[in-house]
Amino acid sequence: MERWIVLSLISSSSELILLYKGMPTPKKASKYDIMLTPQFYIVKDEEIPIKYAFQAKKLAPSILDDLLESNKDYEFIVQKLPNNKWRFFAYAPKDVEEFLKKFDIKPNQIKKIYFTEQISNILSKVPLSLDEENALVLLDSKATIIPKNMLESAVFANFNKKMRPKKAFGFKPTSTKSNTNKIDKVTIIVATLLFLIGAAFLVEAFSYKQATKKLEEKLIALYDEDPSLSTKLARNAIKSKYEKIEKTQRSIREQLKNFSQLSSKKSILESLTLNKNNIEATFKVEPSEIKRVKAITANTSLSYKESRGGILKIQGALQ
Amino acid sequence: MSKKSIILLIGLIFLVASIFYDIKAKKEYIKNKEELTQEVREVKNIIALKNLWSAKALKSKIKSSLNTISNKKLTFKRRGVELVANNLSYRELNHILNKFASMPLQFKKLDIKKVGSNFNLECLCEW
Repeated sequence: MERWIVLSLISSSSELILLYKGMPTPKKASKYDIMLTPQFYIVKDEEIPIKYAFQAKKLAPSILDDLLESNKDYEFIVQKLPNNKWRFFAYAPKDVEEFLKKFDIKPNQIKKIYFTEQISNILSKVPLSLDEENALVLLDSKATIIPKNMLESAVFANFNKKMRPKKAFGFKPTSTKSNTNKIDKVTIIVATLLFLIGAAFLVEAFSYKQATKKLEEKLIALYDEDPSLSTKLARNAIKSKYEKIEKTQRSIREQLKNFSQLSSKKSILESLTLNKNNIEATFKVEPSEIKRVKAITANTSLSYKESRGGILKIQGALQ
Repeated sequence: MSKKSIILLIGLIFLVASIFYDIKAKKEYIKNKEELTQEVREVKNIIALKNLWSAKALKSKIKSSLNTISNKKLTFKRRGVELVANNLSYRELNHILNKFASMPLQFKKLDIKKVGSNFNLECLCEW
């Protein structure tokens, strides 16, 4: 009896089912462990002088090559036997998945798999009944399905969960074997590019935030200089007050400048008064100068009123 | 969904989110820049106007500019100056008006009268 073919006494939460064509519908469960019959796998024993399982696994495809169908993807499993012997299993996960599909069992519900060679200690004693016609027997240390009428014995064992072998293998669903799940270099490069471009946009966004912050700081510094300007209402009132002063006072200066242009030896200022809306001035102008004075007033915003004796009353409106 | 798809999806979501965040930040910046620049300009303008028309320490400046005029003719108020000057020559009158006009004083009252060949001036300025 091989060391690894020992019945498991340890209970498992997964439902253990024996997989063979024509099997009855298994009990409903969330997880299943399956024992494959030879209908679902290929097995070959070979004597090879290698030490480690990973080395044997590398050799498995070439050792089983003549037994495999070229259009299927296989999963290889190796077991070390005594005397430098290795047992090579090959199964097609897709075949298993498709077979279980009709029982509405999804690939991700399959957790562990076993091979019927692992219960050779039972099969060597008594055949395992599959259905009314077929039984699983051990022939040349290999599990084989043969018709019951070919057997001399009329005693058969039924498969049950106590037959669970100690050694289990993980089932690899085709979806996990496909390229879609492999994080290849292209994926890494594309993902890195996406992240880098994204990061560049983020950096730019933060620079905009910083620039806004700087402008705000500039404004705060101005408000610190004059806190009375920090509210819009106060700012508008102050602005309105000083703009009015600015406008009026500049206008006064402008008109004073205009009046000074009128003044000369022949055009003498008699009086000047600043009113609320204008500046009024009286000039005594000699007849020869009247034309020049009038010309100046015409070029400026001044207006005049002529009286007798060369008296010109000139008015300059204020803004 | 495979790991590969998840990684690419996360990368894509990160990129799209970054682009949207950038667009939002840019829009906010443009809007804020316009508003803040306008506000800064306005505040600077107000401060400049305020500093101009509320200038302090004008008293000494006025005194030094009018050192030809007797101090008796000048009356300084808390925030202004009242000047009553008689018998000013045209040149003196011109000098006073030019000096006052060149300073940020607010003319509140200005009355000039010619008496004989000279001028009498009454002027009230504030700051």
